[in-house]
Amino acid sequence: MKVNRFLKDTIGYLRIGLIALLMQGCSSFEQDFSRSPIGDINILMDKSEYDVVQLEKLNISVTINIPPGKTGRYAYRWKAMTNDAVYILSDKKDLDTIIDLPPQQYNIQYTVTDLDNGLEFNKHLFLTVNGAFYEGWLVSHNLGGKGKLSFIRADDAVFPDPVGQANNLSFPENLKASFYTQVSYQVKYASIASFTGTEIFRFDPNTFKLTGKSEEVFMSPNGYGGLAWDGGLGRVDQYFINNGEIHVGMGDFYPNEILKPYTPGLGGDYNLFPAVISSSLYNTFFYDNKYKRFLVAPAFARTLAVAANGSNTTLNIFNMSNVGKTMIAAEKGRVSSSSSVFYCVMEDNDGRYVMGINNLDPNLYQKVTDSQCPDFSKAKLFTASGLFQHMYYAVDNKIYLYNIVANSAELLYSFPSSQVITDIEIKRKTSKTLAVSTWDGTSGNFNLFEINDLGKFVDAAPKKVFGNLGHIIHISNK
Amino acid sequence: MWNWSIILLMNKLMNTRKYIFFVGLLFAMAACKKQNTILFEGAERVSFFIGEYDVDSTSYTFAFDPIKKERDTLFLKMRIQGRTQDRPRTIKVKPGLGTTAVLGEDFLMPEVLLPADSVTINYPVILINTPKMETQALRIVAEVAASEDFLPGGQGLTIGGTKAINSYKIWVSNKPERPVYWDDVEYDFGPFSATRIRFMISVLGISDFSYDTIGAYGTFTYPVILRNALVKYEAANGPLIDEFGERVTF
Repeated sequence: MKVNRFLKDTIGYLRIGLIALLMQGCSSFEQDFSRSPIGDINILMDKSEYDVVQLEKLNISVTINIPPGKTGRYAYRWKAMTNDAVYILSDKKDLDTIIDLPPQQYNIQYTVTDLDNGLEFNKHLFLTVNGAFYEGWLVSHNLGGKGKLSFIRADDAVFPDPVGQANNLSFPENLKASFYTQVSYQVKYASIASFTGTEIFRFDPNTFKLTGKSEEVFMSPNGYGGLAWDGGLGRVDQYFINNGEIHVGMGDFYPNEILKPYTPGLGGDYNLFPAVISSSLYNTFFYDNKYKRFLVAPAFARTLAVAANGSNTTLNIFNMSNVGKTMIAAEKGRVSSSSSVFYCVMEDNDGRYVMGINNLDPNLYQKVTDSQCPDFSKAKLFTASGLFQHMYYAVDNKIYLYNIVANSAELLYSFPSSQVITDIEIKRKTSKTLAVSTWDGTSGNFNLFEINDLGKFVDAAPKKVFGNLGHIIHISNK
Repeated sequence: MWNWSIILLMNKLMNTRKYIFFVGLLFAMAACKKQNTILFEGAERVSFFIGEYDVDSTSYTFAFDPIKKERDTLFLKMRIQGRTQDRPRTIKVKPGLGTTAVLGEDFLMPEVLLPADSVTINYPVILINTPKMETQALRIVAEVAASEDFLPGGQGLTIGGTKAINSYKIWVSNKPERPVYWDDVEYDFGPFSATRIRFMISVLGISDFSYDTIGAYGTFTYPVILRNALVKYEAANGPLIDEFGERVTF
């Protein structure tokens, strides 16, 4: 009975305790909404988006409005962020620093930390870092048996010797050519390749820092000459032609391997003209001046085969497997996402011809006569428009415009007779600028002509002239 | 009478309910006790481990080494089952049932020390190139043996997708045998023959042409190097004919 009594009392107490807890839970809570100011600050800047050229100074002044009564003890931090990296730019209130970030877009986070209470105040900005050598002309020129690579930027800034500046390096002999090699959409693996007769140098295109040479770039080279490069329309393989041979590099499918050395020459009984005819997505053509026919490399292939005859509808234009003429030039014309047009200048005992290839098939064959196209039979320097069916060619000191449809040409400009044109190249991005290099026996000039909607020069003289160069041997566009 | 009996029974039941309620309260309070973490207790063990889809055997031949080797080492992955210790511990492996190679003559299985605080180790099986391997493939069954520190481990699939095993088979020879990976690279290098692979080794200076080793770059680039080398070889010696009477090409 005593146990029973004890249990009864215990349960009674527990019930009373439970009721007390319930009543306490229902009581009103006196909430306090009063607050003391935390010292919000206001960060003001001129803009929220900034562009800067790599290695140049960026200055961003900041105005900070501090609430009354604050002492103003703050710390500052400028951070540049990408998806996979964070860079600290400065710990000063205003940004005043040389930007040595890799060229790309960044989110900038500016943080002001109140040292009294640890609160952080942030402001976000956007920063685009353009490479110092973001766009322009690679000009390979020689003087006194030594080569030099100059860069003429799109805004006309001239970098006479970026290779020397970046690497304390001078080319030991004359340059043969320089190329900007970028497989489309793989700018991260782009490079600049410069060739002398015996050596290849590979540079980072943003800094001109040397990234490789010799067999780091090219397997089993045997001297350099007759050079051409193209990343292929389908971006599957990249091709270098050197001394009549073809060397193949890895493409877009294996981006991490793009900068690995090109293959040795594929080996075969041919003598390739230095042109990569990337007219088709998955078949790239080459021309064999030995057996005077087109050869083809399908995507991923490491062998060349004789090109097919073309489709039935184009067989009557010309037979790609048996052309019977010597190639003088091959220039890229209009390009679409799936094909491009190439104009090939050919020669046989009867004169010269322009033959076109579009995608996989011939699409043009016409004889070109000097009566309609002055000096055409002597021309060695050609370039084609990406907008119009036009080619430009140069002979001695003269530049001509060849209208492919009309099969006629006209003189556009004559340099003084003391000057000889050494190379011409159209700016592929717009087809509205023609670069022409000249040599007067002692120094070279680099000339830029503006092209109008008819394909002719806008001005009666070069729009821009850059002098004090050596004998310009090769121009290419970056 | 009947009614009084029911009332007495119900009163008894009520009292019983109070007892149950009280005991329940005591259990509930006891349930709040902090639980101790369960720790591993048992013998320290060690086993070989392989990938979930890997097989428990491999083959090795001295025949494809660019430079003739007198011995080579094959490493087997081992992992402990149990706690790490702050002292080195001994691991022993012994030849198991079915071994046709002779311990001390064709191969060695040294006693190794698992470094302090380590979980895994690559166990070295030392293979010795003996003349009989030129005519026959010998089998070595590597079995985990008990040591003063470890017993053979438990077997089976483990968390993380690896398999623990206690024996691993190695076929060792000096015969030019078709590597197990050749199917993967046959498109790039052509049908297997000893003549072909010996030529490849002499030109490229490597003997492992598996995709894992040479990558996409190798499968695209090495055939060009081989083709060019073969042109030079044929210019000096004529066509390279393999042991099946087929001309080697790349």
